[in-house]
Amino acid sequence: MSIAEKLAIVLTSGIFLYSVALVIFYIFIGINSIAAVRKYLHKNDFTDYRLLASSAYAPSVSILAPAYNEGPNIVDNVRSLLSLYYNKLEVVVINDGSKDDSLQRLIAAYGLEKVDFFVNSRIPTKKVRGVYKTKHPAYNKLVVVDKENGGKADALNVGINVSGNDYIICIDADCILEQDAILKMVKPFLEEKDGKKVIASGGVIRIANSCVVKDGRLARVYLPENYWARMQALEYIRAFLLGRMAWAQLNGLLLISGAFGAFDKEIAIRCGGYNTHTVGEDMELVARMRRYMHEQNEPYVVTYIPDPLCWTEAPENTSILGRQRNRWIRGTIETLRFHRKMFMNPRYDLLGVLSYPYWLFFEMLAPVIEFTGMIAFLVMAWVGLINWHLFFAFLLFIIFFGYLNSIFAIYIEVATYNQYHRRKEIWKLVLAALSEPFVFHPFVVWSAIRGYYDYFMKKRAWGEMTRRGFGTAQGKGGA
Amino acid sequence: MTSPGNIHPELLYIYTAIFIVVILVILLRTGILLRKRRKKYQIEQQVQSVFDEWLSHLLTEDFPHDDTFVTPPWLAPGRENKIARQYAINQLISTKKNLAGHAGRNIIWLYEKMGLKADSIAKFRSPLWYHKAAGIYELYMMEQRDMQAAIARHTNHHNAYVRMESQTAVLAFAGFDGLIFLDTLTRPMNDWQQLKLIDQLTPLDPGNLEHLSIWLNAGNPDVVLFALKLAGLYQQMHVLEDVITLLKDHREKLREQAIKTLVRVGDENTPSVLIQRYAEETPGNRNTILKSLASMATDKELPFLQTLLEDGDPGVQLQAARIMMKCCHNGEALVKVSSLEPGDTYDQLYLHIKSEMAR
Repeated sequence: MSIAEKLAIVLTSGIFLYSVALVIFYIFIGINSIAAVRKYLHKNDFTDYRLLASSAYAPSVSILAPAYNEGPNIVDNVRSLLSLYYNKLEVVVINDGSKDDSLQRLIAAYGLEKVDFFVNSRIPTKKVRGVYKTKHPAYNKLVVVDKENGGKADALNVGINVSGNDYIICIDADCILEQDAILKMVKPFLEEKDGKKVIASGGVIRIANSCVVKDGRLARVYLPENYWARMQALEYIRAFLLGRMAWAQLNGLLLISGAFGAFDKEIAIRCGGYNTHTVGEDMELVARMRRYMHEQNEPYVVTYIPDPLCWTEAPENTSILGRQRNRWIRGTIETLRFHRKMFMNPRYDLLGVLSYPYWLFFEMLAPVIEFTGMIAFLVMAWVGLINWHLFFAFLLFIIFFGYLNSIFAIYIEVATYNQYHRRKEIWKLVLAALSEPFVFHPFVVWSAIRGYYDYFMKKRAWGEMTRRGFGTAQGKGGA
Repeated sequence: MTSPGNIHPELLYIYTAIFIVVILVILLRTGILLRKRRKKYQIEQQVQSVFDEWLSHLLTEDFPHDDTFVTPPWLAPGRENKIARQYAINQLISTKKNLAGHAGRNIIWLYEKMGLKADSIAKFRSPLWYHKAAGIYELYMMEQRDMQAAIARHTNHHNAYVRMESQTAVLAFAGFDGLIFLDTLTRPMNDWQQLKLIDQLTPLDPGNLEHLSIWLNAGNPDVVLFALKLAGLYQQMHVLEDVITLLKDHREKLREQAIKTLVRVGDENTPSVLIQRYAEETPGNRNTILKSLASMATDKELPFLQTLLEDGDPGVQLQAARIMMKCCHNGEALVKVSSLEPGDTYDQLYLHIKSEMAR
């Protein structure tokens, strides 16, 4: 047997074992997510969340909304946040040195005045230029902070320093929250069990493209018309309803989306707040908070709720989507590198021996392995080392397992929240799933490979995220 | 080592065929589910249209409380009408939440007349926890007091959700007298449950909570925590000593609640009691003490507050300055003098509080 043949066997064996492990993990995740979602639905079947809105015993919450050049939509987005149903609420909007007229628009719309405000900088940040409040009683929950540009993580850290409440909910300023979003996000913090402190809670993000948005609120849900957005709708269902619910059930969740996550402020501060040296600040904060709790020997949990509470606009073209995925993989690499101490370290329990290795092998390294496999395939095909019979059998095995995973996610969606009411939309989603291995998935892998390249080239850019905005009627039904 | 060479392609084809079969089954189930949902929606619309008419009468006096009322066949007891009957129960509960008096009694009458109570009891008797909890919820929302004794047996149930609904139910039936379950509660009662129970009790007269002292000395820390909240909420001065004792409890959460309760049940000595505890407390509870002092400090506390003003923690300094300026006679002048000292901090603190007071 030649060296080339031996190499080919090692390579293909490795990829094969990797694929089998991935399949086993996905089955494990699927089973766990069913248990988690079922339990959640049963226990909240007749919960009256309204109690929380006005109770003196409800925790106080600050929403932190960093904004950079959000001028056209900022006033409506803030109005939408101010209309959220919760008494002990403060809305902190952080203008991260926008170059447009975001601040002026807010000042004009809400009658803001610059106030003397002592910022207790428990987390070091870029300079705060001013804090604005209004005397208008309808907007007394609003605090606007103007600061020098320092990126999203720095803006959120300023928000943490300025906020006056016990819990923080970090969101993207352009997200649309459901009216009861705060109530549902806060409840897990009141449900501590077995003396385990709830340090963070994540919520599901859904894709709002093609939905009808009226007065800053989601009026009607539609499946995105655009192919790339539709694929992301499917991907988000799979990731949030299956993946994260399952990990939360195991108390091994390592990522809460930066677009919508709630945190115990004191723990976040004790951990040093958001890391400004990574583009994956959302994942990094969760990893650090968890690591901190382990190292302090304080029992804790990170929870997740499957209700669709936050809607965001997904990229609709390959250039923006590519930049987003490029950034995500860089964020993952950076976070896992910062916390490499946890890898297979039993001191961190499940986090060290299961969550971290999963993220390392099946999230961070997956694009590299897939890309390597593709190159190896081309080379082996060129030199005639491919066993075509086995190749096609394996290809079909993997593709159909991928289909099974997606179809199962769609089924769970229909059986639980069923956001897409029209049957046609469900079948469209199924069709989209069928195209995934040939169009969407290769693109995502390629973007991640570019992310690796940028990471090694030490490119730190966040990547511009141009959005169409929700301002006009986007849905078929019109606004 | 397992390698693709050891795997027969036929085996992979078999697995693939299994995947395809499972996919087809899931797709079929998805289709059936969508059909069921559509049917359910139609049934619910049908129930809703009848309910809209009934409810408009229920709100007035002219609803016939006699044998002329006939349950439509599609709402009659039976498995085939399960969806319609559950929807009817949900609608009645939802309406009842917003109604009281005569209209509320009409809702209950309708619930009983349609035999929906039997559905709730069947759920209550189910071995599945979520059915049991739902059954209890429906029964207490519909004020089925004859079920009180049966439900009360579950207030210490091993399932948290059954326990939670049972406890809420006994309070809904018996008001403050229902709190007797605290005497024997050995299982946890989380903050959400406590909030729910307090909400249930809020409109009622507490009387003299005679067992409060027993609960404050209970072995179950959640009972103690809840009792502290009750003591504070209803200003039960007679348990002041118990509350002060709890300031030294080894559990941080209990001490925190004891501090908050003390503000409500305390006397003129309370600020000095809290100040004595300050040095021994955790940073979180120190903050709670400072927040508590903000509503009760006097000139007597000035020396303590002045020492805090020189604390290295700006958060503590801010709170101390705030209390001085709001509660002490010459507090503002003292903070203003500090603000003239070198460095920006005191000046910023002073301006911050001035701005706060002006708003």
